[in-house]
Amino acid sequence: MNKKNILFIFSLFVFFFSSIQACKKDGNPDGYSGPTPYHLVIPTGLPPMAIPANNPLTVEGVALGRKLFYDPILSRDLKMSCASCHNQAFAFSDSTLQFSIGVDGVAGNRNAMNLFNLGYQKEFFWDGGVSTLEDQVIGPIINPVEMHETIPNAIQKLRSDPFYPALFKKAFLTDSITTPLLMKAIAQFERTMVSGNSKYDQYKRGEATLTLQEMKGLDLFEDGTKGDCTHCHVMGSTFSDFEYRNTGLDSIYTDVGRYRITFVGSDSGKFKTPSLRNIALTAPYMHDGRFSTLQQCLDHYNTGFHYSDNLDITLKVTRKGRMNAQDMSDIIAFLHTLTDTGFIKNPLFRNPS
Amino acid sequence: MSKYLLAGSLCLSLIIPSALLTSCRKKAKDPEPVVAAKTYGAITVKVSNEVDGSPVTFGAYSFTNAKGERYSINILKYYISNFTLVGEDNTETNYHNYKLIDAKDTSTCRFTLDSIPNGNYKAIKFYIGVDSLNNHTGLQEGDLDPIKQMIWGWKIGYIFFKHEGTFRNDTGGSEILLYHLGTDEALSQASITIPLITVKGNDHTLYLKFNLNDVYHKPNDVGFKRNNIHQSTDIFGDAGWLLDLRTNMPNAFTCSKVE
Ligand code: HEC
Ligand code: HEC
Repeated sequence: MNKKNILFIFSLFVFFFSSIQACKKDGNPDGYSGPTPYHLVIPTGLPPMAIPANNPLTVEGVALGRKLFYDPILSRDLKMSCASCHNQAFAFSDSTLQFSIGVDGVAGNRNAMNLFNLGYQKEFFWDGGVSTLEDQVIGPIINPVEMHETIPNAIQKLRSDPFYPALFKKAFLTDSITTPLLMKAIAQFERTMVSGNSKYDQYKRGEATLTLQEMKGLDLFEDGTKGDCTHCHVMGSTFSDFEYRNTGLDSIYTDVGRYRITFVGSDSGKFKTPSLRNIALTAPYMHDGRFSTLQQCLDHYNTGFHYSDNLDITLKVTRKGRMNAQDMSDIIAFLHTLTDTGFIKNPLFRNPS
Repeated sequence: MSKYLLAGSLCLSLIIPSALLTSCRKKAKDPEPVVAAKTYGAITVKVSNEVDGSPVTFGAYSFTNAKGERYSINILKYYISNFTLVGEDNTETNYHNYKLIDAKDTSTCRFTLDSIPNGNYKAIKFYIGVDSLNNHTGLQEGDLDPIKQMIWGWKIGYIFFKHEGTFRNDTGGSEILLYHLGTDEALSQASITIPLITVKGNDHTLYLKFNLNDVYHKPNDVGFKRNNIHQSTDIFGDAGWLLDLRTNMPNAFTCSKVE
């Protein structure tokens, strides 16, 4: 083969290759073949998780989301990250604070939520104001009582950072960092935060035994004449149906809850039913963190709830004082079996730096 | 001979990919290739933001609403979407566009509707805001990207209309004016008769005028006193204001001329 034939074939090859490249969003000169699919392990007992087609989990995307979750770069004063209010040691809720304090030292009016098994939920926040995990990312960044940053500033900081451009490129094969990609990366990490290896789960799998009191508590939790908790905190799996309910915390509302989103009168005072997994770790309790102990929560369900039109029917028809002190202690003992120490110690969810 | 072959093939390798590149960018609604006379044209819409005839300026107390309250503008932004041309025979050509008009940045105050079929057009229609189909996720690009700062965080949805500034209260003091109109309930549609445009393979310009004072006046009077902060968050406090603005909004637009 002579030189010019080689050159001819070579230029044909260049043509072929570059025409393939032409239809991709960005050229990829270093031969990086794109992000690696992330294999999400779901523990037995939890259902498969639906991952949105427009944001598949990838190793690089999850790693990027994790870095962003722990990075104060997204806050105005560069001091607060998502993890400031969502601490792994407390199942990603905010230590013992009733109301988290934002970058300006101002407190919000709701208790920080725990973060795990988020991929099973259809709506987020206490009132379900946003419907995707991707969308949820915007709120804390721009909320004046949280990170109080603007999206243009946050994106600008990421673009001029020495590391992020390369990380976004690895995860999303693009040279430009955009808001949708920031949203996607954090959502990917959040979907991997699965908790399903508590003592209760091990008991279900035949790997552990519950004490007599824990067993009694389990029964009372389900018993329609006693705890009757499973109406809403559905037994097993996610321990919630995530529906909105009025549990009679108030009859006059300082926070209208779900109504703020739907403007439907009967939604006043309704809040999303939270999961009871890891509940022993996430005090204080309820949307406004008004209870600091599980005993106070049980007292509320037993005798404390207020009657109103919007009170959930389950509680409306229930008898006040149906549980005695022993019943309540037993239920609390059972609730402690829902703590997943493997989850709060899982190195995959730790601060990566 | 071989030199030509070599040069030719090198040229090809440069030209063809770039041709392919442009073909990749082609959108579905691009015109069919035409051989003879063009069967389509384009209309560029130019929006001018005014207050009772004066162009919008920022910072100073330059404006007075129908209630006699002096006010200023620091931010004035709004969405125009789903622009539709109505033909003389009532056929509608819809552009599924979402256009953010930022009065401070004149480059945002114009947009072009391509490949308009030849014919006579007598009216335009558009939403002021974002239809419910696209109003419930911020995972969007272009003018709907949350970076445009036209989205809420506590509940995902777009701010259709944003006027931030100040106004003078009774004692001459300065108070904040913060109007963020949104939620599906706030969507309104303008339907405006225009001087007949005849598209015959050529391009036109349509001048659209937005009068901010009409948002607060036509026909419902909205005063700023004790009514100066609304974020469409609380229906108790915002409902009346929201409905007034929704009703007035389409009346704030007029078509001043076409060319
Ligand atoms: C200042 C404290 C604070 C910071 C910082 C913060 N959050 Fe939150 N987070 C909260 C509070 C409070 C809520 C409940 C808000 C509500 O219901 O209105 C919440 C709720 C959530 C939820 C909803 C969980 C559910 O079950 O519905 C998610 C997800 C979440 N935060 C993720 C994040 C991410 C990601 C970041 C960083 C970008 C972040 N948070 C930063 C306090 C904070
Ligand atoms: C009618 C439905 C319903 C029933 C029955 C119910 N819950 Fe709840 N639970 C909720 C809702 C809704 C919330 C959130 C309320 C709020 O914050 O306003 C909640 C909150 C809680 C919390 C606080 C969670 C947190 O993260 O702050 C605990 C603990 C709890 N419930 C335990 C129980 C126990 C134990 C029982 C049975 C004795 C029970 N619940 C019965 C609906 C219910």
